[in-house]
Amino acid sequence: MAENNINASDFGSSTKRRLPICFCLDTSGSMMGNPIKQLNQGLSNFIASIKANDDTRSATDIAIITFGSSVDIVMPFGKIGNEGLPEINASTTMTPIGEGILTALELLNARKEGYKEQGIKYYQPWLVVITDGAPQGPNAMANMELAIKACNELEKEDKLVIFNIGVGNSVDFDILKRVSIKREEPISVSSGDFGKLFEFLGSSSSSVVSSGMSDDALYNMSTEPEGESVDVDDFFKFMEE
Amino acid sequence: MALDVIKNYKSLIVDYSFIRKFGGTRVFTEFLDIVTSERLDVYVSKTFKLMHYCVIHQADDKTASATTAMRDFCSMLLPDKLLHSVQVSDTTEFLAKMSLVPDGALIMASKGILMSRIREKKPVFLGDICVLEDDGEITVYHGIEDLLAKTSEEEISPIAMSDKYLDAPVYCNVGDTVTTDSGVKITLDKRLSAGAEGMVFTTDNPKVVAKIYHKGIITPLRWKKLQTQVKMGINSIGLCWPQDLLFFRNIPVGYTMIVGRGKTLSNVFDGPDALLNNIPECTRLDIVTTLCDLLEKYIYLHMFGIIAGDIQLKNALIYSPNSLYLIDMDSVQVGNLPCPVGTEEFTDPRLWGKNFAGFLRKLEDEDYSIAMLVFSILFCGLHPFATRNGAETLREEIIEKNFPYSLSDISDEHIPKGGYDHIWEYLPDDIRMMLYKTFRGGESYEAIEWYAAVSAYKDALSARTYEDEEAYKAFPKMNYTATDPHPIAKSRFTPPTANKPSDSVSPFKPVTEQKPSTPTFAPAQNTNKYYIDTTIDTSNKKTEDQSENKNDGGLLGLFKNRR
Repeated sequence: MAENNINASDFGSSTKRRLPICFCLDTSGSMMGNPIKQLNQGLSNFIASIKANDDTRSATDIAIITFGSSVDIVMPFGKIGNEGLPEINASTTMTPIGEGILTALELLNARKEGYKEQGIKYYQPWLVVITDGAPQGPNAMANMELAIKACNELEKEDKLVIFNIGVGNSVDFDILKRVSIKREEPISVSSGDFGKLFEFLGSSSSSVVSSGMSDDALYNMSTEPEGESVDVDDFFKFMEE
Repeated sequence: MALDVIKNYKSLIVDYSFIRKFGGTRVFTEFLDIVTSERLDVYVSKTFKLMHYCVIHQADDKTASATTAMRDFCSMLLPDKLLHSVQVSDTTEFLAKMSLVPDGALIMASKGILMSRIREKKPVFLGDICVLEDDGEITVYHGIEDLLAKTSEEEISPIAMSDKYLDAPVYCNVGDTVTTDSGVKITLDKRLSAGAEGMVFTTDNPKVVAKIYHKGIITPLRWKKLQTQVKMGINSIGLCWPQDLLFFRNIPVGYTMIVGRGKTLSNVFDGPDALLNNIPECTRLDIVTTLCDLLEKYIYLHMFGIIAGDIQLKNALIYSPNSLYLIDMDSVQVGNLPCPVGTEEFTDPRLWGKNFAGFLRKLEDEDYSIAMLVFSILFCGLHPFATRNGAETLREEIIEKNFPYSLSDISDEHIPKGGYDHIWEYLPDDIRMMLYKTFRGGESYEAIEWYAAVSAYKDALSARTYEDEEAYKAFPKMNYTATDPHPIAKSRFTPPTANKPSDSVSPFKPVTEQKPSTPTFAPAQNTNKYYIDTTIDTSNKKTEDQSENKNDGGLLGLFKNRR
């Protein structure tokens, strides 16, 4: 479980407004093999791109939680080192999504308290849930209901941005959808798309910290420009009018 | 003679816009002839000298004649004691005071900071106002009300709200040759950066880089603004101002701009580690010099009716404390073409929630962003509303004006840790008062007033007037040192490139040493007139650093990640 141990050195001396992101990752047995390999690769590319970008390096704050046979804090906030990420492995039983999410919310809350204590400005946190299945295990459904309730309340108050992401065909999209009240449908990807998914998350975090993109825009996945496209003749005709 | 009308007055209150606009022209010569032959008293405000510094420090050919004009102005009026400086920089206060001058008229250009301030503040002024149009034609108004009634405010261009965007099947990249609107061919050499709006390339012209937009980014507003900007002809090394429009196969694709270099200010002014790693041994004077340089640039833009709009530390590059570059100039508000972007952190909360493309920002809107800039630089990147144990969101802190610093020093429990309380403690009283009144009291100061206060702070640091050595440290009473030094400039005390004519000139040299004299506009005793007791500095600060070839490849952060 998350500990509320506030250590000033974990926050660095940057004055930048922070964007806390907690990844909550499914490591149940079905993720074994290629999916978990792709997940590790995508995550490590994501971290590398965050570190390579001047704007995101000290502004983006990352923690990673896994849920499989147990819920584990693989990387707490403020602990990104130069040695890279610990490798994430898939285990063989259970999918305690609800417990994973509840732990993530605790971590995020503790981090926010830490920011407040230090006087650090922050953006509202992101919860990135990636799963390929449905809640499984003792009390899994009850905990999932608690997690959905907590997420919905925070999201409604604009205190949390949720990326609910389903991988493959065995996802219980009905229950995953309920995790967010703002996203029309969960983001659905195949494990082969992890690269693109993490690229999207990286560029979205960069848009938030470097140009103040609104949280609402994070729920819009369209990459097409808004407005009416016109060809060059119409463009100049309009300019002359 | 066009200016004969000024012979009707005994005193003239001269705004700097007159010198900037008409210096070097026949109108100006005629003005000086009349003033000296008729022995008219001339009054100027404290901003007169400061605005002139803002102009000459940009070393822009567009305003080159201002230097000579100011020299002539001073040399002809000072010996006869015809020039009087009033130590006031706030527009309302100055004009109220000038209302007391018997038989006086205000003389100003039709476009400029004073005209905008008069429209926004509607100050009291009882005398006549002589407004000169661009062609030198003069119109006399009888008081502020008459002026406001007979002239109209610019309305937003209808193009601003268009949702159209240019969609053409052209993509250009490294190696492609693009053409300027005057037919000059430019080859894209090397990609420097890429962002959400487009990409920046070096070109075969070492003085400029090219910004090429992505699909969907060229809107009528954007292109119209670039056309206007290019026509304005601003050409100053510290302003990455659009120089030429670019076309590829006759289709608009982007523009060239003056090359900038260094690192984004937000990544250097980002707490003690970032600051000292980028500028090892950074002093308080370096910080204040940086701030003065920035303020001069923004005030210079204001003189041309430009409102930066999206002021934030990301929109400037720093190479050294007196070598800065304003970037992302294609988003600024020019005339009736609005700046469509802005951040909650730097924008006056009164404007929050508005569509920035839907209205024209005013100078008074920019004053808040300027105050934000002043605080952020003096506090090495910190936001004024970064508060310990404060509200849930920054938005709430700003709305509730939870500024954690006090004038009484009673409580500093809400000031973020890291030595920021000591920065506050060592600031001059007037700056503390201004920051406190702005962020706690919701008052506002004109950009020029900030510049006046910060310049005085810089002079005090340069002249080493503080006894306590801690006052000169970037972080007083703290012992920060660089943890992972990677200086932006190769050497602190040598110019940035080796092939410069004089290697002995430091880019970090305090500006007071570059200026032959620091004029003091001291109030005379027992009189309501104020006499200038030395000449105005008309030197042109084109430093070694600014006059060299800028294409050293150290270009970063030219983009904003935003449409």
